[in-house]
Amino acid sequence: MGTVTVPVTDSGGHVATATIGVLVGSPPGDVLPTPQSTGWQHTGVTLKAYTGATTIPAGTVLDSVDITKPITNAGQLTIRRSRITAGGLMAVNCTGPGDVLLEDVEITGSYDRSIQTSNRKAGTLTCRRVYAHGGLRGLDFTGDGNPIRLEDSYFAFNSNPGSGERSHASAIRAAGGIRSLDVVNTVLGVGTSSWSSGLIATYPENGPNSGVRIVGGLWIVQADNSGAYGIAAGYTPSAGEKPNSNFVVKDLWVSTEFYPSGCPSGVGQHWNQLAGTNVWSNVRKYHPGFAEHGQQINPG
Amino acid sequence: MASPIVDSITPASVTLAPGQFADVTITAHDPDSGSGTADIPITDGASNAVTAHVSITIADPILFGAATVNGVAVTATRITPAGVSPATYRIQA
Repeated sequence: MGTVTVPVTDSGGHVATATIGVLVGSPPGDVLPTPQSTGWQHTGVTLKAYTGATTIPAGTVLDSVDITKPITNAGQLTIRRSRITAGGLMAVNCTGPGDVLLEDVEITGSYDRSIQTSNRKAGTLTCRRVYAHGGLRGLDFTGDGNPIRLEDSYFAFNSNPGSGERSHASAIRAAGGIRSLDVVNTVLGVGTSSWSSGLIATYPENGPNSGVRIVGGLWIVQADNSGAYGIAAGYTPSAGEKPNSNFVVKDLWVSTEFYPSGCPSGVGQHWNQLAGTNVWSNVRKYHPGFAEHGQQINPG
Repeated sequence: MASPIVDSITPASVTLAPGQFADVTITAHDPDSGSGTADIPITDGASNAVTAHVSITIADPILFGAATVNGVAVTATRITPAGVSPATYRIQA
């Protein structure tokens, strides 16, 4: 990882610096993440039990730990090469104001969501080579306008077994109020036994969403009904909702192994309802060995 | 006089394949800038009064300089004028 720095100067010669992280990697889709290339196991470490507090103090760096209870952060937090197998509603609840980095971490065991953010005041949440699976949702950050970034991660599979109508499973849920989500070369999936579920739910129920950027990676929908979607981009004016805006989906693979269209209710569901400047580019069917592999997919 | 404040960098980091580019937007402001109003009473010898309203702006423009690349093989070019905020930089691998 390198950086680009930009000086910002006023007329008195006072200078502030803006720093941008830059990583040059493989072309998106050439090396897709897998359960074997994400999480802690591929790093070869031996885990030791985590015995600290459930609210982790600001500035903590954890490495090679096995966390078996839900955690939250009081501030800046780094967790590397670790496993979080917490039961309960959520495994990781990001509430503190600092940056959070989860790198080479496996998260499973919560019945609802692997990662949630709640009332964050500042900071970037980065998930790098995170393997999040086995819950109803991978990431839920409704109402969080701070930056979130998923890199080279595997958020699959999430599902909600049962009978009749039940809560919708998703890999990412952002039901309003988000301003910056980057999903880079990441696999998102919903599993079988899911009800009317999609990969990225951006219903603007709590204010419009903007700044959603999906670059590279693979989407997989296995859900067992025709309501499943890729990204739900639309809004409901009769409910007083405002449209989402400034979405980017490019260089993305969409599995057609389970549905010919990839997502039966639309890969870019209600994409035409977006406001602002939006990009849909080079979204292709993924089914190696079959004729449709590589065919372009339009939203809708 | 205070230094400019960087309000946001969007996205804060980018991952690029060789040949790809990404545009990053930086928003900043100078805390010394501001605006307000002043009311000046004007009275004649018969005590007839009017008020003159004056708008006052303290402008301290900020400039976004040339980007410096550290430890990675990319180019970074500002694609908006130097004195315009937000500024956008194109990072090309």
